Amino acid sequence: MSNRKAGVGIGCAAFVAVPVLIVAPITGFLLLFGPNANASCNPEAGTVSSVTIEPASVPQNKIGNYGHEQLVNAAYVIQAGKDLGLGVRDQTIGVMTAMGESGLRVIDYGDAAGPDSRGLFQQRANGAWGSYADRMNPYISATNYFKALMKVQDRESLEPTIIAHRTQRNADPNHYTRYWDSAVAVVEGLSGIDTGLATGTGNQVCASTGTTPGQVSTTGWAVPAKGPITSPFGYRIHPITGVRKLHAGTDLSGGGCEGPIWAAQSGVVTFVGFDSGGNGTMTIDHGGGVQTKYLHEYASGMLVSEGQQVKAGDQIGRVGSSGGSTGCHLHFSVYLNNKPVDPVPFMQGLGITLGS
Amino acid sequence: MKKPLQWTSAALLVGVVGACGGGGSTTREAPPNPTPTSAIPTSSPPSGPVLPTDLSTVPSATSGDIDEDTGGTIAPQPAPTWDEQARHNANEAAEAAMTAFARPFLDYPTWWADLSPLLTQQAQQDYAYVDPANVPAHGVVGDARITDQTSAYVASVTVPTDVGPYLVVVTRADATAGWLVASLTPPEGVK
Repeated sequence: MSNRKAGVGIGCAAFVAVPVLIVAPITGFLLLFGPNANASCNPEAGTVSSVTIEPASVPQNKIGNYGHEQLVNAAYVIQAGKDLGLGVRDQTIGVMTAMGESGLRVIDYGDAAGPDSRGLFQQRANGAWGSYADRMNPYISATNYFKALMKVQDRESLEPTIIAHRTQRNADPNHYTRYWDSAVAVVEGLSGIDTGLATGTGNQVCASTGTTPGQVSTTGWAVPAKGPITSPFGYRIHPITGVRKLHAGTDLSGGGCEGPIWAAQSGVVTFVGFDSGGNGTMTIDHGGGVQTKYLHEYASGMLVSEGQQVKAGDQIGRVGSSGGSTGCHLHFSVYLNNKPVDPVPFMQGLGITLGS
Repeated sequence: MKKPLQWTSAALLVGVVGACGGGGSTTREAPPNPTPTSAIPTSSPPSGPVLPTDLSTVPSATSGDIDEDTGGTIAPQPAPTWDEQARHNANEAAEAAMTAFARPFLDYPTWWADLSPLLTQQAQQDYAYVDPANVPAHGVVGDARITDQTSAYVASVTVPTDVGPYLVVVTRADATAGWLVASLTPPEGVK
């Protein structure tokens, strides 16, 4: 019963969890996967997925709010990315960044933070981005942007806005998120290719799979993850040390690695991160002394931010196996006035059968 | 090997239903004597979600239990509530972080050494790559003001700067923990 079920990711095909057989007691903790397991749920990196568009062949029609002049600039960005051997996700991040910096215009002025910023990417005159002429040239400025982007390590495990932010080192890491959907539309509209990039993922690691809503009952509560239950709430006594510990929640297999995690009730996200045991943890405060906690995600599987308002059934995460976990599952806890209660009868009283 | 579950908190849990079922409940699960919604001041945080009608049958942890997954102690501190001191501290935390953030003239090591202890774990990862030279604001120019206190664990605080009001989100772990900053979002049109 210590073998929590390991499985194969449903949305992220290349992610395979290794089933683990352990002879340890139920309290046995294993750190098998690091907090940053690589979520391979993006289009393949590199030239395999590159898209191409000749700037000279950009049509006259608009895409969204972007007219011909801006679309030609986007084509230069896409071309610069292709010439450096970058895949479609990186190319789209380039277009997103230029949208967030200049609205895809080669502008000859700066802003409050950088009066010396110029061009599509608002590159500064600090020597890092070439001459004034370089910074005002769409193809060269995009090439210099991408060369800096290529130094951002582990891009497959980072959100598009974070990759753009670490390249630009601007003041607001989340600035570019709002331009992602337009960037996807422009890249697909110009190339005529279904890139496999989903909208709504500018601040998510997995760009290919959007989120799916969960089922909300008439009481306003939602199922936090798919079943079955792999370990119930209750006390366990370590057979050797005799130490008594509480399994303070219900473990759900959740559809295996990368399966969807849904907010059980509307509320405010109060914590996102890792506890001292390395457990990826998201906490939601629902008011009235009620909180829910969701454990064992990887960093890439925590899709919400502290202070964010969520609704019951919103997908807030992806099932992982960080911290005290031997295989992908969701540990779901309900807290009343700071103390955990057994989620199964609690949710049953609200018309929701956990594990079904 | 399992021990019977503890039931000592049942009375407390029944108390929870009585205390918070009245204001916000909109379903038939509302307790028999609901407080009229109009009696709740509009500034008061929502009273919480619908709870099971019979919480006495739901097993609960006891203070002092050791959590198997986290290794931590259950309920070492009381749950936080909003009061004058909490509001003051939340405003101070937001203003202190904004003051440390809005110093584009500093070198990175100095800037980060002052700012990072004021941030949550998640924010430390997010903001570690900021080049302070790209921060548009040069200082705090007025008093911080809480604009959202829906949760006693989180507050949205508006902090005026020379480039406009920043929205600073602060969080706390429990009633005795200090406030930490989760994000500093510039006004519209500033990046």
